[in-house]
Amino acid sequence: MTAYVVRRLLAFIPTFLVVAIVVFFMIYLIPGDPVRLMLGLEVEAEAIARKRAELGLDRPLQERLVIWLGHVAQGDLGDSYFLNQPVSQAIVERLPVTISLSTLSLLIAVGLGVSAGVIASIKQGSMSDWGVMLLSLLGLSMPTFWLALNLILLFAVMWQWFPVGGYVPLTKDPLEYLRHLFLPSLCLGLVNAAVIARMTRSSMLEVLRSDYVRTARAKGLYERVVVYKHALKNALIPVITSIGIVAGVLLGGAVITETVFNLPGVGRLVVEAVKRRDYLVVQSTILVITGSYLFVNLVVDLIYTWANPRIRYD
Amino acid sequence: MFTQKKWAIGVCVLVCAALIIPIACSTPPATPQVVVQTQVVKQTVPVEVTKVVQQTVPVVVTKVVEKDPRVGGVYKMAIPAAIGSLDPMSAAAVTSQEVTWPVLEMLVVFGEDFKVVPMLAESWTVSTDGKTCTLSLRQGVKFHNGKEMTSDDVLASLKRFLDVTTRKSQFTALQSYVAKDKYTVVLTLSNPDPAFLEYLAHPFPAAVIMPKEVIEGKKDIKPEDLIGTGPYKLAEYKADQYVRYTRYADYKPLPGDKSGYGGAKVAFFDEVQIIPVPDTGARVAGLETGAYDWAEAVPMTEFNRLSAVPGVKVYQTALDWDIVLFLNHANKFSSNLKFRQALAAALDMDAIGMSVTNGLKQFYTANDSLWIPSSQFYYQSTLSKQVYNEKNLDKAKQLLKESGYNGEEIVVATTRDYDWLYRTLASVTDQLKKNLGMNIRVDVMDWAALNKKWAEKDTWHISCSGIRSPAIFAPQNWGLSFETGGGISNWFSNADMDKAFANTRSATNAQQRIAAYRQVQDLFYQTLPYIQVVDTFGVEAIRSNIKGFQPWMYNTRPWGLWREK
Repeated sequence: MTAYVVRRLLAFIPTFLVVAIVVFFMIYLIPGDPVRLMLGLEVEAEAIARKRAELGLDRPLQERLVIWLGHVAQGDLGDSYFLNQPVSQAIVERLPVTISLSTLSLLIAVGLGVSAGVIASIKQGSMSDWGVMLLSLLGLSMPTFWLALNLILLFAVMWQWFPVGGYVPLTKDPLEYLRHLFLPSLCLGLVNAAVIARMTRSSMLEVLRSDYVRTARAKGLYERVVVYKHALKNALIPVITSIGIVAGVLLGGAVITETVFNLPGVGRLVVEAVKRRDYLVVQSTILVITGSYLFVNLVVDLIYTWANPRIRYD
Repeated sequence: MFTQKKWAIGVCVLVCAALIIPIACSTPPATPQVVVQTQVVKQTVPVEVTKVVQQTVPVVVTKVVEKDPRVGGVYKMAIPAAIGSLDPMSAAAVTSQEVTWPVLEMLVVFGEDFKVVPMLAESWTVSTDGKTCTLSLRQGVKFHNGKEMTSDDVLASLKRFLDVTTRKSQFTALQSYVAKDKYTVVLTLSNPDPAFLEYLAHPFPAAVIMPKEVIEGKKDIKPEDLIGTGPYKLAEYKADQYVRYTRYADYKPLPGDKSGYGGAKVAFFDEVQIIPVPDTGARVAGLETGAYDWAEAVPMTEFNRLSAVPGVKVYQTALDWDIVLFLNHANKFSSNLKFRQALAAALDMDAIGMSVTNGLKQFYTANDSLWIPSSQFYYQSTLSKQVYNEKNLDKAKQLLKESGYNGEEIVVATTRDYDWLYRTLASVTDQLKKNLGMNIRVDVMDWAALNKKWAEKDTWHISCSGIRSPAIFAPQNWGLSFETGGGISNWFSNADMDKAFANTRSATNAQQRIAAYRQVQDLFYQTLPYIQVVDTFGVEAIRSNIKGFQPWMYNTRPWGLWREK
């Protein structure tokens, strides 16, 4: 197992390198000039040229790539053109927001999704099943921004139970931290619960029809034991895969939710950076997001071995 | 106990209710009933001084009369854009400037009536030949680091400003700036320039005064460098999250009332926050719940609804954008005067205005002048009235024919990032296609790409932008648009226009300047470097328990405000 983990970790390096080069060329291929955005419209042409030279944007693309990779290899991600801070600091400041939002959303999504999926599968064809399927269809089709704005309207503007947006660090005020994160987490949790519920239902239905479940029932085991001990664990493999995908997406930043709820997370950072062509921030943040995807994938692969002991990597 | 059936029905009902209630309970649009008690008072403010004697003239300003200011509390301002560069000396973008306004001050600033008024310079004299300007600094003004401001700090700040500013051409006449004594600075010009004090007062980018030891030799301004003399001190800067300021106890406000960027800047709040909230819905919702006290860039479509919301006061700003059509003078057709005249003759500016404002007529005005009506340079002539908003399709078709246009593809470059810009060009495209039968391709891109596109000679013909400061307080900035080599001239070049701008700089008194700028406007309509579209007005809103508020062109000014008990 250890050897497998080490091999996977080593495989991260070429992945990072490929992603770094692809992202570098992609972002520079998009037309745009950060200097013009930085200085505003009413400026002299000479000032624009001066600033471009100062930021090194007048150098050839290959030269900029080599310089950037050299700095990244030394742990220096450079300075943001717009944020008045090093890129590494910008990312580190936003990671807690994204990790908090992802964790809470995932808890809601998994809690709701798995429970609803199991209920729907064991009561197949009943009103409960139809209800879960209808709600999950609704969750899948509902645009996140629309749900977010409605949650704000209902819970923040009309009833004023939760704030409209913003973020309070856990260390500053734990209660306010939860209050500020509740609505965005609920928004993301509900949407992702729909995916997990449907996956859980279909996987459970398949397992519940298998011979060993029939045998367990024939042995006279309680239905609860059959479902939760024998069926659910075996049905979890595809569910874990979909949870892994959801976790990866959430860690990559829920751009719309972060924007609507004014959360300073990684998703908003990268989108704002793309909009204003803050090249170094885009390149480095995408590397971090890639890292989180790779990490989540590794964790998911390791969890498979718990869910199904027949899976071995040695 | 619930059965499964009841449970399922209950869940469905709850979900439907959650979706329907917010919509059902939202307040319907109502007629705006904004009542602001105002009193017109006559004030005396110092203005441009020529010769050796300082003069004052009476001006009329609108002043909101309110009593019993209360000290304390937190004031939160929600702005739409992310905060960019923190260097007010080099960045011309409004967001880069407005976050420094509570902290940093300038020698002279624009007052409410867009005339130059004192700030850190308490007075100034100009020699009879117009070449020497002597500024007397206020004494006893302390920086936030506790040091007194002196002429050494002014010289160091001016030096850096002149090194990094993006409007260097305005200071080419400045030969030297020296300290006569601890509180006097002498500026010497190679030739008289009546606009020189306006250049010093212009806020984008701003010649702010910072301590010598902080600013000297400084390449980049970091948050910790923002040390000034303003009524608030920078307490915390969180990139893209908020900027927090605390009241500067040693601040000594000027006597009188606040006026524009000038006058008495009294800090009543203990703390002020500027919070970027890019999502419009979230910004407005935050204002309604009281999470924010003031919101910038409220959608026009929210004006009526917000006017009826208790606890919120909504108002219209003096000018949001002077919308202009950019024409690429390096490209075949748009460089042809006949072609440009054809466009000008064909376009219905009211149709564009209605499109931009979603049919809300009160939010635009078809203005043929390059300046807003309250500006001292405001000018309408027979020519401008003739050329602007003519809607003469026969003439337009004739001019188009004479320009040699024969159905070739015309590229309109636009973006969806700014709704008003997109709607302007959509309406323009629609009119030109329908009324003149032009063959138009619309290239849609994001704002950053559009900015880059404007620098390309061959890839576009028509685009659009919004202009603000030249129309209000910086007429000289039109030079960037119409003078040969100007930053946003789009390769327009005309010797008469260059000469007219030279006249604005060599004018020796206010009347001559006004006449020179009239000549600029006449030439503008003869040569059409741009096409003037409409002036739009913005919407902003403030919690009604915030007192002392007096709407102006820029309202990210947290001084003179307090929260009612």
